[in-house]
Amino acid sequence: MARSWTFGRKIALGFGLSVAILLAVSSVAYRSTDVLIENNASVARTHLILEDIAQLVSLLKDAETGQRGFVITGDEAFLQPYRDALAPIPRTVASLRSLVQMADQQRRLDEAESLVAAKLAELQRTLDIRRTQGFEATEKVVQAGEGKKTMDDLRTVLGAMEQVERDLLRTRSDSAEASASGAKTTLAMGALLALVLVSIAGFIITRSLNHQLGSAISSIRSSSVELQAAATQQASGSREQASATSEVTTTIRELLATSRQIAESAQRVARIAEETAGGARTGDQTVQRAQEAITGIKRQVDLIVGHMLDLGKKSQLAGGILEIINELAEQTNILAINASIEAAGAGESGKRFAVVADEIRKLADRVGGSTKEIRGVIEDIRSSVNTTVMATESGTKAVDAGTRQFGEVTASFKQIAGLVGTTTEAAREIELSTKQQTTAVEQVNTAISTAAQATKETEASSAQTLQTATQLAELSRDLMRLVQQDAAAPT
Amino acid sequence: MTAPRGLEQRLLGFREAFDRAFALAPATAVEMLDDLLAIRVAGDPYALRMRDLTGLVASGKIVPLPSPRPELLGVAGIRGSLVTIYSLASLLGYGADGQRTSWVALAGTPQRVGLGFDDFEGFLRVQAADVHGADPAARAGPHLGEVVRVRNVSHRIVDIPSTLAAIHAGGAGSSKESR
Repeated sequence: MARSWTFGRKIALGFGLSVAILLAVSSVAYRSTDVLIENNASVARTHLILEDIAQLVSLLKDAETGQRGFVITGDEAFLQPYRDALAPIPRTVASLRSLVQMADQQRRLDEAESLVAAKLAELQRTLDIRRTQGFEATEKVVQAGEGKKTMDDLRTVLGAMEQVERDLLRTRSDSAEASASGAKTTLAMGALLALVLVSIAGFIITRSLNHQLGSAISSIRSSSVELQAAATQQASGSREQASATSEVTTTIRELLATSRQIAESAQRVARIAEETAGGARTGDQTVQRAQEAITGIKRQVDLIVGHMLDLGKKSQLAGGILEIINELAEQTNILAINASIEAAGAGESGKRFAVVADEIRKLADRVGGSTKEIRGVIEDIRSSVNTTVMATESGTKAVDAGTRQFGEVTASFKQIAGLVGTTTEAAREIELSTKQQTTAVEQVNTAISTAAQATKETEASSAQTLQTATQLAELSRDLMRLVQQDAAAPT
Repeated sequence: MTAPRGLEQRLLGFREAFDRAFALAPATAVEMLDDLLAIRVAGDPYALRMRDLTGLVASGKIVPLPSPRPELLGVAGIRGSLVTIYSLASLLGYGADGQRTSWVALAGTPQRVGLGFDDFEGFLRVQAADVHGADPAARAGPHLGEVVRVRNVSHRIVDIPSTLAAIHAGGAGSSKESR
């Protein structure tokens, strides 16, 4: 299972073991130091208590010395030690009360404090007696030994306290020495144990790392070789891709130029189609006006045809009347001839009548000739009328055909206008689509340029990768050499 | 609207002729003239002397009569008189079939007969000198002897007395023989 551990885990195990040992040693050392510090503090407090006891005894001695000098001499100047000791004595007692912790010592301190108060009261009383009653009275009081007894009791109590503190000081010194000795032993053993364990762990980790690093470096070396080959291939591919991208860019630029030309052409087509639509609309209006004019012409032609037919009927009627006139003339002619015949039969008497009949006959002949002429004229008129009617009917038909053709032309113009409108819309859509296509091609061109830039960067990156792979291969060889040296060294 | 120039000229000609007819003095000397009626028989031009006739009428209804004489067309009522109508074409030697009878020339006194023919062209007044004998090389026919040429058309003059004589004699052949 240990073979599958990672380097970090193995190193962490080694360092964890060392840290555990270090923690144990440190714990022991901390504990010993703590005990030592505590003992030191207790020892220091004990020394302070001893100093305060000695200070209290000394102050009481100073007060007693001043009291004796004044009692003996009666000079106030000898009271100076007494006065100097009065103030520090309560402070010293208070200091002792703050330092003493044990119950026995507290009880002794209470007893000592009452004895100090009794001693100070006895000193003050003797001083008062000396001032008031003189030396002899004072000598009697001193000789009574109350003051000496109080002082002896106080020395006894303070001596007991001092003895207790000195015993306690000795005990704490022994304890501190034992603790320091144990800590020293623990540190020495812990350091030795840590040295052994760290050495073992280092050996195991080093051997494991050598083995695993060797195989890993071998893999890295083979991978770096493969990476070199791949980077070389990638660089070659990137160069080919860059070349192809350049060609694509050139083609897209040409396509872009073509799209712009198409857009411009579509725009021109749309403009021409709009002009054509305007022309078609104008032509449509012109054709409509021409159609209206042709409709007017048709009405006039119909009117002319009506008049011509009426003229034909009237000329026919005139022909009928002329026929009657002709018949009358013929009849008159026949009558004149018969009159001439009768006149000829009448002999001489009929000659004058024959002349009149001859004149009537001539007149009838002229009338007959005139009617023939008039008939010819009327026939010519009728023929002309018929020709005119036929021509007019042909004109009417032509006008009808023209009207229909103009209608067809109008429809054609409308169809042209519609088709031109459709063409305009189509041209605009082509223009719009081509512009969108141009925009798309520009975007593609930008994308291709970006891709070309990316390809160049890829090519550069491939070169960098190749260089890195080469360096990695060299590094793996160096590592392998180092690992093999390290592996060969123990052997 | 203006009339054609030719028509205007003809109209002026008519007006002048009409006015001139009433301006000239009436002609009195007609002895040297010969009045004729130009007719067509079976399409051929002939002429009838007016002095040989008693009248000219348009043909009315002719009631046919049964007769062995092919030239007899029938009888017709003319101005209150019943007149026997003969076919001039048959009398002149044409066949009787298919001949129209549009006009009837009356002749003969006191018994009037009618000579039917198909077309009347008009009145002819010619100089007597213009009438001459028929060309021997021309087509010979009964009751024909003289000819007059008017406006390049030769009209053979029907001999009315001869024709009437033939009718009264009872046949065209006898009339032919009488000439």
